[in-house]
Amino acid sequence: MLASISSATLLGVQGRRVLVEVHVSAGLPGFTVVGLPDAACREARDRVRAAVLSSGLSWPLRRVTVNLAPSGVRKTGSGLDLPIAIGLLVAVGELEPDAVAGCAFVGELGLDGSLRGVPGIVPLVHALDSGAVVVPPSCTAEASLVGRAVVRTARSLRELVDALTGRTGWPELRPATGPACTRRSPASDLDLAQVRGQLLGRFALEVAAAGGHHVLFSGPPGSGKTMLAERLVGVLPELDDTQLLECCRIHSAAALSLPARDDHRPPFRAPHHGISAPALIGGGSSWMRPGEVSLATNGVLFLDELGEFPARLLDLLRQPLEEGVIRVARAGWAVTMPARFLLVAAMNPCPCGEGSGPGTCACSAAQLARYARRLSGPLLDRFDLHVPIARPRAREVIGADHGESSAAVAARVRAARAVARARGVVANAFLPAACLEAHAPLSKGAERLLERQLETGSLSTRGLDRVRRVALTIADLDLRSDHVDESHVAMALELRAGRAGLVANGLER
Amino acid sequence: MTVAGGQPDLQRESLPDAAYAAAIAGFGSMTPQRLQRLLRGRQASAVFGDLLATRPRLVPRMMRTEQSPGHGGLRAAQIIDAWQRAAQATDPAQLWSDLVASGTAVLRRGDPGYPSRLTDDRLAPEVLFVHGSIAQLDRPCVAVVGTRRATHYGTDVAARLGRELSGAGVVVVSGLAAGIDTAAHEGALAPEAPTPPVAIVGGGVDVVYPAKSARVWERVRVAGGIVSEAPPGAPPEPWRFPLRNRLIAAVSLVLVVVESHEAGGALHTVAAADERGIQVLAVPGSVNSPASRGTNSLIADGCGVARDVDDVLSALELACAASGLTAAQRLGLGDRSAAAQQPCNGAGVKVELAADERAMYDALEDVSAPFEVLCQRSGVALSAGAVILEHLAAKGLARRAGAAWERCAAPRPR
Repeated sequence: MLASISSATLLGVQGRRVLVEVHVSAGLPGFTVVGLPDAACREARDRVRAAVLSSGLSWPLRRVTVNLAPSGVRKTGSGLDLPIAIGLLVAVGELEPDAVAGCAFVGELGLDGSLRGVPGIVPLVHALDSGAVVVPPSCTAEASLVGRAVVRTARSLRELVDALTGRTGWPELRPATGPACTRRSPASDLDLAQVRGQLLGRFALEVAAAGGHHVLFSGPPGSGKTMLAERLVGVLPELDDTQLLECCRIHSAAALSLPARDDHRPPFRAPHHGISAPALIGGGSSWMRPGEVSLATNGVLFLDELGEFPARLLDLLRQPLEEGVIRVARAGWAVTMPARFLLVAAMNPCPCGEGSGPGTCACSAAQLARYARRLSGPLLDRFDLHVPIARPRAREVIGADHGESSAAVAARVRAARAVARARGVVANAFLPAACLEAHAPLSKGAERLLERQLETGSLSTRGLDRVRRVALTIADLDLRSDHVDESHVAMALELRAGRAGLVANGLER
Repeated sequence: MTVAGGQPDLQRESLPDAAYAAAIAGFGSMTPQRLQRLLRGRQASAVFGDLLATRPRLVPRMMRTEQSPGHGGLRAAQIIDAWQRAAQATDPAQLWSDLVASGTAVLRRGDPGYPSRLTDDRLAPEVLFVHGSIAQLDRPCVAVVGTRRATHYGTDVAARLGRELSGAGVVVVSGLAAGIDTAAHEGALAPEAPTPPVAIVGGGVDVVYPAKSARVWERVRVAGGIVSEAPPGAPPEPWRFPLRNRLIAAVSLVLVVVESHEAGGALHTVAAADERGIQVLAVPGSVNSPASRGTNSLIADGCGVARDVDDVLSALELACAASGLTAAQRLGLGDRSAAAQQPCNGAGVKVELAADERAMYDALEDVSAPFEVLCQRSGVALSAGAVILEHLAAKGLARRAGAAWERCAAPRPR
């Protein structure tokens, strides 16, 4: 007797459909699982046996073969326990094939027959195309996020069998509360109004959010770089439904708790500089867990103390920044995960931290050279905005009026993004170079200004394109003009002045 | 002179004495004091022979020199042991041919090319290694030194001083360190500055330090000369720099410190100059600038002030007329206060400014200030401030210093 049950397994952030075939025949009693199961899948045999027996059902003394199709792809995780058990029951005759037709099963089984949750339910359910899907009770909230299939659950194998045979009804789904929907950090009480002074830094946040430009804050310790960077999320536009679902899939695949239903804020990830490479870009553990760059998709990746990150880690960021995806390969297979984020970084201009003013740095030439080796030119090039942040003066910090709130800035950002969308791009940072001429013609004064910069060598031709895009974003934010003016270009140049500061300190050759 | 177990006499005696001096100067633990005591008054070949033959009578002489209490005898014996081993391992002939091939001259105290002002110094170096030519050290010399962590103001002033001093016929002496020293020599190498400069360095004359100064080293070597007490190939170890500073002070008639931090190495050069009765001048700087704290302290303690090349030259007791500046040019220099009020660009032409440009120009200073601070000072909005600064830069009134802006120093009208 043969039974086929639909299920899914997790790889990276994608679920892969798996067809669980169970074949029972005469022969010496035995139970084999084929189809490249990993260790957790192979242990399913013992769990299923104990669960079936605990549920008061009989275990066949026949030869049982379980195939996980497609057979050439590795299967990971313990989520296949439930479909194997159901398939066995169908093959043995305990359940009718019609009872399980059109239904997919995902879940782990306890030795007492209870259904246990598995990580990554959102991408798993997303991959299935059955009309109904049965998941363990702790996963119902995540499973309903996908919205396609009817979500059913049962607390134990016995209950499930009863519901499938129609002896009892399906248990009620609990509403979406509980630990699956906790609020994520950063807390929503981070507001730009809490930042005193720092007019240039605030403006840089506005430009970065409006145009999707990567921004680097450079300044001495205690100048407020981290404060500014944390408040970028409050200024970015909220996620739409597709983006939100993608974020949920990725967070679910990483076995992290998902945001609340009404929380449409973009994700904010701030890895510590001691992070390992698999944790940063993904690929750790057997199912290729997504890393920080994937978890930050559609949101912000904040690298604090950029100078403390090992050079090889920063090198790994080049592919996500260029292509928006990260490809991780392990022995046997490769997986592509999304990695489209807005990069924010904070750094000290030199190892002692005081190098922002001329003549104030206490570092030796050797220390500066070592620091410079970490921050390669190609990486620094990725930042469109390179803003020097100075320590606020006492007058600004004590008793000053509050600056604009995040809400006010976010409104301007939304308006600017709408203008960009009219050009056909999500944000100006993605505008192809060929379209710059058409969409962002320069005024005469702006042209002259850029020519002067190119001649003196303070701007390279690659930098020229970036400056034009940033100037376009500034022009979008400036409601009074509809073309790119000299003042916009001058501001764009000012917003990347921090790069020249590094050169002056001898950090670049 | 026959030596047991040594090289054949004939080969040894055909080598000049300087070869042996160079070999001995290259031994480990060889400080200038020890070298002086070893070689003073003797032929270097004889000393070399002594070391080869492990003559014990060298030891009492060295014991008198080692001042470390309690360790005197033992330490001296260890050092001499090491020298004897080094002497056996060194081939002076090979060393000499290497030196000749690389163009390095070796001067012993008393040789014709040895700088005359150094000969009578209390701690005159016994052996000097030279690339290029240092004959110009017999002409009037002014040392221009300062911190490695210089500001744009400091490097500007140092370059200008170097250029104008060299144009006046003065030899500019410096240490080829990063910052002020390099800037002074770059000024002294300008086309309108005909006097060859001299650099005195801490490591070997062929060891370029720091690496990014390679071009300046080459230019100084070709146009003037580089001299060092350390043998070629010696790394620029920290203990060599105070010794080099004393040489810089000793060969000069006037020492100018352009910028120094509070406890900078340039102050050691000042101490060496004071010991030798050489006049020290310091360039004043902004009281806000840490790089000028040392120089401002020197001035507060009574040291002379060098505002421009005229101050240095008058300290050098050369008349302005001898240096080629006409009376009219001298008169034009004094009127500094007027120039500060009316913005003049590099050509000395007065420039008309709009109201907000004028406000921004007044907010600029010689010390660089960040963009945000300038906008606050001038009361101009951020969005307008950027383009105003670019306009001022186009008119030659402002320029970038790293990430900040500063006023363009109007050069002296010529």
